[in-house]
Amino acid sequence: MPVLSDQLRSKFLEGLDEIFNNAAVHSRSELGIYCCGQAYPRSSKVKFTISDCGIGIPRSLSENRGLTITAEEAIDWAMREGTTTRSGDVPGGLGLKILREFIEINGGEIQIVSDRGYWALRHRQVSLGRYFRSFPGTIVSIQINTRDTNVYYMKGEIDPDSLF
Amino acid sequence: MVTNLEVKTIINTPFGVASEDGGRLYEEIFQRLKNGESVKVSFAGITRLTTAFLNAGIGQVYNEFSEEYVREHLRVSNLDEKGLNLLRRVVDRAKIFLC
Repeated sequence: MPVLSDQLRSKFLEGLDEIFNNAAVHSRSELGIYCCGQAYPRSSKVKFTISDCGIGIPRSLSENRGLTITAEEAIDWAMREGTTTRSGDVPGGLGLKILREFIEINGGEIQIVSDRGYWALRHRQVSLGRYFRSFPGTIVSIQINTRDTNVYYMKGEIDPDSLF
Repeated sequence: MVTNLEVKTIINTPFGVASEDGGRLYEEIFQRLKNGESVKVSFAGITRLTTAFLNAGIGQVYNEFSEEYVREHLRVSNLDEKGLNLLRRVVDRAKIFLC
């Protein structure tokens, strides 16, 4: 594993945790969650993929929100700020957006396949596509630029006593 | 009266990641706030946090209590910049989602 700045390492792990948690909360996968990753020191990249065998984002959106849109549009909906299929007492709709913001700043990539939908973020540009056959679940792949030296948090930026 | 709650003790792990663990934290907070107590939640020893954990653990307080009540009775400590940043987003989102 290449040496990452403390903040980059922290943001990368945060992104992975959010993806894992999304798969656990939303996918209803009965066959578990699979993951793999690889570091590419020469090109300063790390890639990581998490896949579930669940209902997929389009069906989750259709069942929980009553929205019937194309599979790629459903993924695009899930990647926007403030959207969630969750209802009830526990708020949601942040995890994937925080991941997206991080990848945009980092200059990395996200690729998502769910059902027949394909969604990618590359060079801060989103592209959508559709497969002829559907994948039974969701695959999320992220790639980060390990030479990133951005400062993601500033000390003293937030006063803990005025959070609420 | 202020009750100190240690997240790590409640969830028995340094990873504040799973929503189920967030639910366990919320139960502890809810019982105290309901009784009119003030609560200080310490994140000492917590090395990883997700919005899902914070949504379930803290965000849903706005479902039961008003903003004013939460501001008066709930405090957090031992969160680093990343944790504070995540929690602020969770709180802002919860106010829109639940209030």
